[in-house]
Amino acid sequence: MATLTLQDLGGLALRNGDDDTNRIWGGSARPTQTGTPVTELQTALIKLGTLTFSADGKFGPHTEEALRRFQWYNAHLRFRLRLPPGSIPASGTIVPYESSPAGPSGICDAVAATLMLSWVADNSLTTSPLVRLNVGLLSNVEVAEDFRILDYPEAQKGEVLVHADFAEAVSGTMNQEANKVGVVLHLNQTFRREGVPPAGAVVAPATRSQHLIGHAVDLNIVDGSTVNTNAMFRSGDQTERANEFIGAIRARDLRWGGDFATKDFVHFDDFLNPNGTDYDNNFFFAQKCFEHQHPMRLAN
Amino acid sequence: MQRHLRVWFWFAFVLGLSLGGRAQAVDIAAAAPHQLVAALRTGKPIILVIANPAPAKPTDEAYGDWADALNDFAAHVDPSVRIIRVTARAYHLAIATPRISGQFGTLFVRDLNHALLHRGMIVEPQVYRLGQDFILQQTEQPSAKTYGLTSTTVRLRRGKIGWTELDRRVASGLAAS
Repeated sequence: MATLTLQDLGGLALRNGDDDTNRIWGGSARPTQTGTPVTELQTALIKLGTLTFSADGKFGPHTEEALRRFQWYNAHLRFRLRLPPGSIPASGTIVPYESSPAGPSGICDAVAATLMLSWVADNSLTTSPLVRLNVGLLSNVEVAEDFRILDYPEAQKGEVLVHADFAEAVSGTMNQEANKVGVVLHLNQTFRREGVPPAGAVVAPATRSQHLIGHAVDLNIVDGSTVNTNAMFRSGDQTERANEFIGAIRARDLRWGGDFATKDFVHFDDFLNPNGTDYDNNFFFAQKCFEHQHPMRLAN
Repeated sequence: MQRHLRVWFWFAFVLGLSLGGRAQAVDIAAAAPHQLVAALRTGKPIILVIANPAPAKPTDEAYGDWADALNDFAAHVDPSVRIIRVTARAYHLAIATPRISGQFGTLFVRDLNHALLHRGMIVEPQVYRLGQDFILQQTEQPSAKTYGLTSTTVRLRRGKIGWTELDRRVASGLAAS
């Protein structure tokens, strides 16, 4: 009787509906074969950090979603976390890697299996898309007095967390335009944790904000001794330089909350469709890896 | 007499559960008008958050910024300060002035004669710090005005209807906001 393993799928592709107990693999019952390839796949996905349920040998929607997440990660993110054997994520090292083919989305064929097993053998796993931005190195961006530093490994004063794809918008675009106009940006918030503070919440939080994936900042535009507050914008009392900065930011394809239906004059983002796959995956990796205290690389 | 005492005991017990302890103990459920009035009559510092229970859209960034700043403040607020959330409808049933237009507002109440009002959503953490300084240290920072905080007094409604009726009207949606 032939034994099926994740390492040797023998031309099969594991998919939703497969089940080790009932010997359904590749979408068909295979009573002449033995093995636990679905359990092995789930175990690999748990190690890679995309499956948050335990391995049960049944390829269901959670396993499919976890597989899709890994394949999305492999296609979009260029850094992964390498752990010394037996250690926790916080002691891992972030290393660059080259993307490899990962098979059809949601299906585990030999290509996908080989890739996942190579990651596992290398003690590598998926990690956060967030980076640390040292605001102290920027000429026209500062951390506001009321900015609350999040509790993450290597947290340093003056550092904020943003998505790697949004870091340039803050350290490049916004800093440059602020410099040209002659204003200073005081950051009040960047990346935001999902859910509520441990002590409880007064109101329900928003669930699909750009802050939750590190693609937004809240800030005050400081013009000399004048802090352009949300209230000043609302009453039209903001300074001329604040207007110039807003105009420049609009021209650089960033969104300003003053243009939203519900005005939010301190908000800026580069908008990732909150109903899309990219948002979902970035949300998953950013929030989960923060919770598990993954280290984050420095962007500047 | 004994019956009255029992009623008062239960009222105090329920009120204590609703409003007592640290500010963090405030739950997501909004306070009823009678609870609001009772809390204001204690003369203790209170922050009234006027808000509807849920966001219009989960992608609403203004709502998200407001909710996050408020929840973060509530998690770190001075223990002597109570935060009470009320709906706009309950607020208007309990309080005559200041009037709130719209569905969002925040009232930092040192006592009925000294309060700071912020109309609309608070999206800057500085506003909460300034409001808390006002009600605890009894100082109004010059920058408070630039953050949209205006001085006011609080006048409770002298209703001809009792608390039970007020609460019933809010629950049944009879009262206009």
